[in-house]
Amino acid sequence: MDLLFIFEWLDTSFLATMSKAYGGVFAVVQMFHLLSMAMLGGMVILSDLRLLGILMKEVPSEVVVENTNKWFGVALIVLIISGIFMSSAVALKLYYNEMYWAKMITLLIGIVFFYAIRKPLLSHDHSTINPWALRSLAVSSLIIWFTVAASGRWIGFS
Amino acid sequence: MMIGFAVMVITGFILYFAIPVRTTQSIWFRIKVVLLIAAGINALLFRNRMRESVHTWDTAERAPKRIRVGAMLSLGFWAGVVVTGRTIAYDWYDCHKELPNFMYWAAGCVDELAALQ
Repeated sequence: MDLLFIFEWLDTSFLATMSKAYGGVFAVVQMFHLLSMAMLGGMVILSDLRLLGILMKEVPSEVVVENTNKWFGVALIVLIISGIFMSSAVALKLYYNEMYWAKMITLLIGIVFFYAIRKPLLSHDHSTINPWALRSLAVSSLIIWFTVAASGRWIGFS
Repeated sequence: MMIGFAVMVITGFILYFAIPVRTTQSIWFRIKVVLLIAAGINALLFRNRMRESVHTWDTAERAPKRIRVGAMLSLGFWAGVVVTGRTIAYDWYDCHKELPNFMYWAAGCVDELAALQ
């Protein structure tokens, strides 16, 4: 499946007209991207470290996970919207960038992992789940989102 | 939190040492440092207020107003740190550009300030 057409469309869309012409607008969108990234990363670290029994031990892990999941979703939406805008400025360059695809694949893995595996599993009473399952879930989640952030940063270097 | 902060301070120093002159003369970097100090002072005050209200807070419907103000300031300062940290990379107000004199002063552009005299 060749996705080039999406990037060709993005490159000529009104988003690209804006992101290419106004450096200031691009920078502001980028700031929102970063702030949401801080929020998403914060939520992931908070809930995963709680599952590992490292912090907020006095708060039930179900409560921590439920609250962080909500703000994770908000951050993810802002990240995706601002990310599409930012990619419109260099759409074709990104299409030929390996790190960009590495990031998109890990991001996709992250989203599927979060909504198809982690969230449904953690919706059960945590005391009924094997503690090692909880720990491996938390460690996997931390590794996946670290990889997303790291490969995203690497797009800028490649 | 302190672990995260320690990692950021150490890596921040390393990144600073890579490009020290330009960073020192960056208006954004200077604002960022001021915001970091402000966030630090706020955190200290916040901790003190939290200790004062520790007996009433649990039963109160809302957190005490001073605590809420502290929380808002904290969010604002740290968001400012993220934003100004990002804008250091942009050259909009770099010293070599034509800028108002007070910007040369605020960013600490020594060469440009010396040339003015």
